[in-house]
Amino acid sequence: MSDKKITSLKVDRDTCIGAAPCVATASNVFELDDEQKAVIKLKSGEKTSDRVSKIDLQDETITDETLLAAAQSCPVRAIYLYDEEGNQIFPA
Amino acid sequence: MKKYKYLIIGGGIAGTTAAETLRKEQPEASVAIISAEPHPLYSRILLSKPNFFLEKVPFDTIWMRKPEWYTQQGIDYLSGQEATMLDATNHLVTLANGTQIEYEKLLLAIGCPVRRVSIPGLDKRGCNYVKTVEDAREIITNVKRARRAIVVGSGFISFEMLDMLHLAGLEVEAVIREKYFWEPLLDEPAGRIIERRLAETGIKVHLESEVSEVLGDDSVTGVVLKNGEQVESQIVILGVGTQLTGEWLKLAGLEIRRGIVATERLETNLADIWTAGDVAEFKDVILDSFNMCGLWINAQLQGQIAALNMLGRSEVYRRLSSYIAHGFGLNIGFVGQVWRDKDCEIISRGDPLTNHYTGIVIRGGQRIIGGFMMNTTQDMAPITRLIEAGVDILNFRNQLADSTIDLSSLFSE
Repeated sequence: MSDKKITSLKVDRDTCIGAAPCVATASNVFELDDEQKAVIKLKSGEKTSDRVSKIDLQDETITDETLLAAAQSCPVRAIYLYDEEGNQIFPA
Repeated sequence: MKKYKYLIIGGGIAGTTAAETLRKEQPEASVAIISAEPHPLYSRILLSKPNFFLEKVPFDTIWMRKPEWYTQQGIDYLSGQEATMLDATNHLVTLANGTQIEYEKLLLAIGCPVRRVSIPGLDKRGCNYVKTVEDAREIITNVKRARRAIVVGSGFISFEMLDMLHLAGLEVEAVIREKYFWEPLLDEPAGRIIERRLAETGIKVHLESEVSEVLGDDSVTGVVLKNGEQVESQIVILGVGTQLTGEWLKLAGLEIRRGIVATERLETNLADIWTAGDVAEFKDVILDSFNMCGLWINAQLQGQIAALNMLGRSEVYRRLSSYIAHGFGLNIGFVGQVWRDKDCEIISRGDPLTNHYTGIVIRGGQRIIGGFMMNTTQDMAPITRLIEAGVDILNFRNQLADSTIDLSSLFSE
């Protein structure tokens, strides 16, 4: 991976099919909701697919490597990662 | 002769994950993957997704490993090579080109081949199964110059292909051998929901029908149905299930039923040989039966479990399968075992005419083993929990059938 730091992420719900490798890779960050779409778990207790800041994640210690692995494991490329300038890191 | 400590046949997500796991756990061990397809790992899931087909996402989105990844990992990647013979006594695999490879531990992650049918004229341009990236490339090209399409079959692939072709603006007809759509996985009321949606979308469905001949010179121009009716079409796509013939595996002494039979630890009946992914007919410890599962996540996790067991561990594969098909404004969920033998029945929830309908599959009158959900995916999590808990449903049968009762309230205490 590049030296860019992941600062935010989102799940594209229209693309997500609930295949769930992200949950297998990072169950502290992702889970499936009632519609079987991936949502991101936040410190506040909220769960959303929308773009959120990494600092708001429930798991504050999650590494960039794990987040990238989760995004890369998605067979429909529904997980988007962004750097501090808001540039998309993944899918590249 | 080349010799590997760990040899994997199959370069899909099961085989790739196994290789990755072996490499991570034993950095010094020799690991090789034999893959019949001349590509690095790609997302077979994406092959049937409209976004991909209609080129809303770049074609290259499909690749999940770079070609150089294998070398970087120290994994020998024998791509475009087909294994044709297995000598389990001498631990030897023979490739189609005659090369022999010796192994200490072998993983069969070869996937499950699509079921092929013999119809006169099916070799014409415009006819496709949906299995490989080459199939997808051909279909993408064909769709652009076609006006009408025929989809044969009534399962997951045909459902997604109908959706894709419709979204591409083609006039589409479905040819189905069964009495209703997605028989026998769905029940008839659920199948009719799909048929109604197809009809509302302008897709004609030929039930209890088959293509008896494909017309045209080099390219398809139409088909003849079993009843003699002719339908014009420039595309014929077949999605009629999977079928493992696996003669070379049987000759090797492997136990083959619908798939390669395996324990809950994914060991086959032969020493030093494991199996994982779509081809594995494994002992499902949750459902207490043998099960096959053509799902990405199952293949990935089975690849991992099989690899750990090849390393000498004793890991049990335990996961209830579930998936959702999207199309025509329907979300169709499946969990657990949905096909039914004589010992099984369905408890119906909701009125199918509302297009919101759940079927809960019961075995032996007492135990929930699966379910399908027509626009009722909120039922999936509770049904999953009820299956995993192995609860006896005798005392709350009626509640299960009452769609005004939230299923998750049944175990809230």
